[in-house]
Amino acid sequence: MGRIMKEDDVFIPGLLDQLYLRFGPSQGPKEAHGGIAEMKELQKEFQIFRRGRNLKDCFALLNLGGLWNARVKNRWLSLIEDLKSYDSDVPGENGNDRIMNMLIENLGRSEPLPVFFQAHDSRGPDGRRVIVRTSPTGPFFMEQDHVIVSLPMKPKTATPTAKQAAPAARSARKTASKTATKTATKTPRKTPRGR
Amino acid sequence: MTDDGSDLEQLHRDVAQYYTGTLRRFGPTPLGVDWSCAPTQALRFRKLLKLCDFQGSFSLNDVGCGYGAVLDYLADYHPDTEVDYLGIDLSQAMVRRARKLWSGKPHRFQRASVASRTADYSIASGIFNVMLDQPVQRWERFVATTLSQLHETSRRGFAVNFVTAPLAGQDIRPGLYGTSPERWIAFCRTAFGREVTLIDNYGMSEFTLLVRSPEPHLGNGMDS
Repeated sequence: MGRIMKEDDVFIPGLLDQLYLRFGPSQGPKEAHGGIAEMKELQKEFQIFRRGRNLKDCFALLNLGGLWNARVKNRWLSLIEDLKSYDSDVPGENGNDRIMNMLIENLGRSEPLPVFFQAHDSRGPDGRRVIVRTSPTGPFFMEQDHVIVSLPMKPKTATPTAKQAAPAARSARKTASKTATKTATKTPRKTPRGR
Repeated sequence: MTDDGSDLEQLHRDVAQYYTGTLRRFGPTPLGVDWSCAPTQALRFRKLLKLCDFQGSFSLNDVGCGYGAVLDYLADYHPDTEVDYLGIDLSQAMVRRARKLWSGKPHRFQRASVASRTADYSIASGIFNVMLDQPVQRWERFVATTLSQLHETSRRGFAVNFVTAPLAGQDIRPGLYGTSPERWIAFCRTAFGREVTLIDNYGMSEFTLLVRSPEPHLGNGMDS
């Protein structure tokens, strides 16, 4: 992903923050509506997230690429579009579809979980794939159930690699996934409605 | 400075300047009229337009029309209903941009604070939210005056939205006006004798009021 954002990698934390502001917890009823509650309503009225649709188009529609810097916005949306070329933690589902399907399912619930977007080092155990899981916190200081979406990234200075993960990373991932099943619950494909 | 009509004129100028600024920064887009994105803008239109009967044609005044974004919404969601549209905005730059954007269409735009005609319906989206540094008392006089003008220029009814006031002890973002539904529902019922419907709980920190005339209206009510 560093190859896409290039010198604009400095904006990535801010862009992830912007996603959290739109998909994060509503701060309360009525006067404090917003975040995931607003997104649920938008999804109900306009079905923004649809199976087979490009996540990049949804993010562009929601102005989720920053407001001021066209280059950053375009690079960020290219990065999001590029998720189609990535695997995910669900076999056979690419990164774009994994996030899209999760959002459709989550926003269809009577009480959708807030979604926290983060990044992981694609050279590490989670590898070059989009990871989606549920967690009892978003950021550690937010003690509330969340869906965590972790986008694979690596520094722009990292050595380019083939799209297939390196054998060492694959091996590490196997070990990590065994550990992960003990410590974190992946979002099931069909989570129960009406939480 | 006394709190008279000239103060409201100055208020109009300040508001016009603010939205001229957002237009210059972001162009004719939702951001250019201070909304976060097209879907949130459209959601507000959806709530406001619950006022209208789309079974037949009607005339519509859009107060604080910006670049005429509601026309896109109407084209997308109500393409079969003929709407005689007049957009009104305080910002000359906004009106110019709207005319350019919709040139070749029958829609009209005016730079004004009040519509020059009576229409079947009027809507005003977001015009009471950005108070800038106006004193609350003056802003509420602006709200009351504008509601009265909407009442006078709308045969079948009008719809407006407001930011919901924060709970006691919590602050609202500086420059925003937040209020309770009860206050303006009571105002519309008492001052205009109209039926008021509250729409809230739609995922945003705001509410919409639909203010309808109690009398039934016959005919298509098209106005010039």
